[in-house]
Amino acid sequence: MSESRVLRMSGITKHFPGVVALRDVSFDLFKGEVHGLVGENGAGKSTLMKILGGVYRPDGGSIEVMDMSAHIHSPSDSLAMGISVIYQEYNLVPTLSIAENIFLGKELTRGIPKRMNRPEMKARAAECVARLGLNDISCDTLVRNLSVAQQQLVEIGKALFNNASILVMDEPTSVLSQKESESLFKLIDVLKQDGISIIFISHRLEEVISLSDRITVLRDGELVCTLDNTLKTVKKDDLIQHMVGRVLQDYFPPHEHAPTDETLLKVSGLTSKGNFRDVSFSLRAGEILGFYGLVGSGRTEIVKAVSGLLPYESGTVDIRGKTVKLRTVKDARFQGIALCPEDRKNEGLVLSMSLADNVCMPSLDSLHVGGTIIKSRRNELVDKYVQKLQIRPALPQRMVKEFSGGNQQKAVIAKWLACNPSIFIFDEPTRGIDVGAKSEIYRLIEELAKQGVAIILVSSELMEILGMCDRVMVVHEGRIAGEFDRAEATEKSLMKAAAGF
Amino acid sequence: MYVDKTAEEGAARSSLGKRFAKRLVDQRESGLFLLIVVLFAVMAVARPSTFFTTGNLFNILKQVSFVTIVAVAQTLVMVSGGIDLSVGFSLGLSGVMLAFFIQLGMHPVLAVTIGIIASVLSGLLNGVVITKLRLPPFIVTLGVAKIVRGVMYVVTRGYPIPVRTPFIIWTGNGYAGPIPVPLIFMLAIVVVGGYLLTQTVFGNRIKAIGGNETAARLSGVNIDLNKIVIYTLTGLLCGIAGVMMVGRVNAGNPNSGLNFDLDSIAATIIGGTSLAGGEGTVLGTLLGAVLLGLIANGLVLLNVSMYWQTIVAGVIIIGVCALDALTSARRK
Repeated sequence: MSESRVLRMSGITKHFPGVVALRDVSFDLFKGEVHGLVGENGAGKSTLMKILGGVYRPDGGSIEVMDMSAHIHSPSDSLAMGISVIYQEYNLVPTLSIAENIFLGKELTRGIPKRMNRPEMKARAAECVARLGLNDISCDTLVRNLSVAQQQLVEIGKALFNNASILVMDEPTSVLSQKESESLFKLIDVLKQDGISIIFISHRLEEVISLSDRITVLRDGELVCTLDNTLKTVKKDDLIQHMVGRVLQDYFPPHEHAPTDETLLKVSGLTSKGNFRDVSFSLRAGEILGFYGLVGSGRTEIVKAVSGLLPYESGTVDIRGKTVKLRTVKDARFQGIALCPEDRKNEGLVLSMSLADNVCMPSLDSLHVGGTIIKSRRNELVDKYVQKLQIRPALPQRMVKEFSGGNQQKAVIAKWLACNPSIFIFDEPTRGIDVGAKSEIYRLIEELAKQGVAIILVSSELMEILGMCDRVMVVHEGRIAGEFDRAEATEKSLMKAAAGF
Repeated sequence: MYVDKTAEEGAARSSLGKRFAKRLVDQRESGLFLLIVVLFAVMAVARPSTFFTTGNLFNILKQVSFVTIVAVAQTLVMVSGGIDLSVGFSLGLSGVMLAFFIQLGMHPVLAVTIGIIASVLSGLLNGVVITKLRLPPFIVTLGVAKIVRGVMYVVTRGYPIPVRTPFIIWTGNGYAGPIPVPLIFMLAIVVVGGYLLTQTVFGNRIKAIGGNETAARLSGVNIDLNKIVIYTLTGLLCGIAGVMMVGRVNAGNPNSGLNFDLDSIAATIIGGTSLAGGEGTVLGTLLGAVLLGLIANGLVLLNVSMYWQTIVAGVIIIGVCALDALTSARRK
């Protein structure tokens, strides 16, 4: 790493209505350095990067690029200075080809009348993406036909094509498989050798530690510290401590709840063609039952069937000893079943509606008189659950898409909690959210179990399953491959069962 | 590229037939074309003496020409993710203006120019309001449609203004040999429109804006400018169609563009342009317009009442799009 500074952001401040998103934050970047940026959801990482990318204008502070004062007023200003931000949502045009996307905004032309020089664009795009290891695919391919990992490579290719010297990657690995992530890390190493500076944002702290030369921690919009990590000596626990501002001794709450004898849910021989076969299990009040398995093993489908979202061909579902047929979500809700779905942005929330509208959505039946929503009743309910779950900021009228991932997840939970479920199903409740919010959600699940709610926890995180559950069902290729008590469940036994041994 | 070129080309050639066949099945245009051929064959058998004559076939194409010109413009707008509901009145405007000024004794060439400029301005108004006030195209073009309609009624007091100028009548009713003049205009505009959308930087940016506006902006594409050009161009094409329409009906009529808004959208959608924007072809739109024209003509020749034609057209729009949705779902 050479010692030349390519970027210096000093005293950056940014206010949003009602909140200070960033307060006097300073950040710098050297040539050929990977600088990790970590913090809880809502700590201000994304806001800082959006300021760098020209999406937001800061209220105070200054930015220097290559030791020259930089006035970034728009995304194109930022691009012109060699800064490329790869946001979480992909910024490609799905209906254009790889080549057309890479050259968008600076297309090559030929002839009179001027027309697109497609062969040249295709050849140069191919050369560019081949460098990134994407050589077995034609640059005529439409971007929408690519996998997420491939799309990400195209974005990196596009950034390099723009002569980016500073590359910001916002949660690049959250959508990638293990293998895809590893090849991304190799690529990052190559880019580093080429003198490109990278700002790497991730919730996966192990990744950040193994990749970064320095790590900056933000908390509540303020700079906590910038740690030197040239020798990869930073400890994960220290990082977490900086992020949450206290020692998180126990990630998981103490295991205090105790299952009762009352069986609330009994599923026998449930089968849905192409999804799962012959699934049987039972669930008692006050019990936390884990569903572990690989992605695509059928876990999500099983809980969807139990929630009335997926039709099943045979088998029975008994609730409180009575066989019921669950055809719709309304049926399930009537039986006291609530599902906090896997994909909160598409299945859990209406992003364009306010927090309040989202939270009260399933409870509207009890909030209206003759079709008119009673505002006072509604606000009372919303306030109660916003407070109970400590959704931050506590602004019920704010659009839900403006909340951080962790708070969005709390909103989904609040929404179903407001229906007073007796069986609460969580499908990957902590995916893509930070450690602080994670442990809050764990505590909440524990609390619910103590109150006698029966809980199903679907997860692909082993630690989560082991830390929380009384019993674990392992799913493999649509079948129950094993059932383990808390005492029997170990990392090894669960993984073996999930892999089909 | 460093790849062994001859080997690559060899492989490409051997699979060319296969690729062509796959393309034929995958593309909306080929399906539409097939549908048109079938309808054509059915009509040729059912009404050999009236349908299958040069006169009738040219007549169909002539009638289709007007809506196709407008639909080419609509295609550009819809590929960019917008919609233009003012096309019919924009078309009427150029005709009414030119008729009004000819009636006042102005030279016809100058009057035609003013008429077309009027339509261009209504398109420009759409583009500027949409981009500068950040309003949805649906609302803006709906409002502009009403305004333009009102202007026409103010100018004409609701009555058609007769026009007898020979060259204007030639544009809408003339023949070059056996070929109707509107057909020639239409083909020229289809070729230019298709070229614009597939071959030029402007066309690529239209697709980018419709496909992902944020991505286009972050890539440095001037969204506002491109949108203004798209809507202004739409005004221009409507203006040209408006002049031809005067030639066809021998008058500047404020109602001559009635239904062109929905008919142009119908042809565009049948032609495979996505309502969400980002994709669509001018060729598909042409085929969509021809399909609708063929059905209208066929039903007349089969003595089906005019009212039923409208119902059939409605069923066709939904049917074609439903079929496409079903087959593309299966492909995935």
